[in-house]
Amino acid sequence: MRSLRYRLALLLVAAAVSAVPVNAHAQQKVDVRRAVTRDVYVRLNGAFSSLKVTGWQKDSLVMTGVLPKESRFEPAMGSSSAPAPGVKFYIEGASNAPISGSLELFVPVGATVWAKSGSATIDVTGITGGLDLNIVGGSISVTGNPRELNIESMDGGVTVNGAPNWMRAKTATGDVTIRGSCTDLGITTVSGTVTIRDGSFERTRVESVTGNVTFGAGVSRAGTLLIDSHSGAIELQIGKASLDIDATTITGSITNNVTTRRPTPGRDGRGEELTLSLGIGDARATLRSFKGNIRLMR
Amino acid sequence: MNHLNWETLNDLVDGVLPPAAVTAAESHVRECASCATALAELRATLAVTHDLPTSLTPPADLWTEVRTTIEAGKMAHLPLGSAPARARGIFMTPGRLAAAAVLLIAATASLTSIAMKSSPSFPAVVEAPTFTTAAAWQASERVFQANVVELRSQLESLHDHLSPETLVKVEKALSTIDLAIAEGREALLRDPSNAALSELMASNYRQKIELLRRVTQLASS
Repeated sequence: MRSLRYRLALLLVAAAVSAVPVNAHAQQKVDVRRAVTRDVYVRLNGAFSSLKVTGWQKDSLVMTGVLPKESRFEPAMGSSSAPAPGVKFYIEGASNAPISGSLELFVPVGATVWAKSGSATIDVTGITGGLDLNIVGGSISVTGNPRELNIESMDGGVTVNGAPNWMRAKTATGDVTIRGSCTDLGITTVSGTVTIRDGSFERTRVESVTGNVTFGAGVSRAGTLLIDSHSGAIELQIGKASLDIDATTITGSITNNVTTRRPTPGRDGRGEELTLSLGIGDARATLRSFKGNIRLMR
Repeated sequence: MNHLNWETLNDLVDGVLPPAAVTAAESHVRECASCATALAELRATLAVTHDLPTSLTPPADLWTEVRTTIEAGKMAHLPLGSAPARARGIFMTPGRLAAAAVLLIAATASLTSIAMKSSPSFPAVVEAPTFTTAAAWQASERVFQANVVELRSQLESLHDHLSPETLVKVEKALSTIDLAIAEGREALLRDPSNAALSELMASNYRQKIELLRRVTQLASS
């Protein structure tokens, strides 16, 4: 009898333990398919923790994934059977519950995608249209050559591999890493690090308050590079670039490992200034720092 | 009661909500005074802005004129603090006063415009104007601060819409910028004609205004 009661108790405990995760992870499936135009505008706003966007060579949109059962998922895709020029998704998460939900979105390569969430991981691949991505935390990764790329993040990191034509990235503490090329690039960060490498950049402006900035890429012919930092270090890895360089610090130091020219003391004997002309000087770099150090390297 | 969010209100006004959502939203608005007020304000704003021109094109030669006036009106470095009245009088001729006024207006407008421009439209490389006097900088800084106060006030009213963790991150980032601004201001007051310094300061203010704008948008969506 005692053994029977013991087994019954064990069964009850096991049932209770197994029931908890089932309820906690109750999910709803998302499976939306729609014919869309090649340059469809897709807007996705709300509570999701993971979004993967892939551009494909089809005139249709597919969104799949899972969301918490309590989430309200509202697609707005128009009622006609013609390819939709615009599609909107709104996801309202359950109140007082951590944001979760994983979505995968396939859109024509020429689509423009606007996505916004609180804390989320967003990965985008193969879009040649426009991207406007906005998160608080998490991370954003873009691979490909979007025509326009706008990213805003509080502390989420930003990684771009490719050659957007126009790009803006703004973070508070999130790090920004760009590998590729860009015609018109603007990056602002409060304390995140900024790293730009590899390809060629035509017009670039980087503004940082305390984050370090490393530029190790080419500046296009007649291009401009402007880096402002309050206390972050600025490192310019010049390579074989033909560049006019104008570097100024208010109280920081300048190290020139490119030529033998030494920086001169700044105004009132504080800080340092250095002007260099490398090659035929058909591009221009302006580096300004309040108290961060500036280093020029090959 | 879950209030309608900003997105839904805008979609309702724009007529792009799905029919089921329209019914739900209108039902909510009938019972919720707060959302009804927000909806009415939104409709009123749209009604007012509907008749405004979609773009304003300044005269082609405006910048040339402003630039010419600025160049003509550049003043010598004014001493800070209580300079002797006679010394000030040498500079304060009516012509110079007019030039200084134009300089102030142009510099303030340019800097504010740069700082307030939203992301997609401002070019990658924008040179902030250089200030030749402490007074010019201080005037521009007052405009910046007025914008900061306004955005701060908006953010305060939306505090409940942001998570405590986000608010902590925002305040930390703002403190970092404020520290940089304080250091820059001190240096700029010692050397107001330092072009690099004034541009670094403008950059820090841009960061602050941009951060406040983004967080306010985040809270209101």
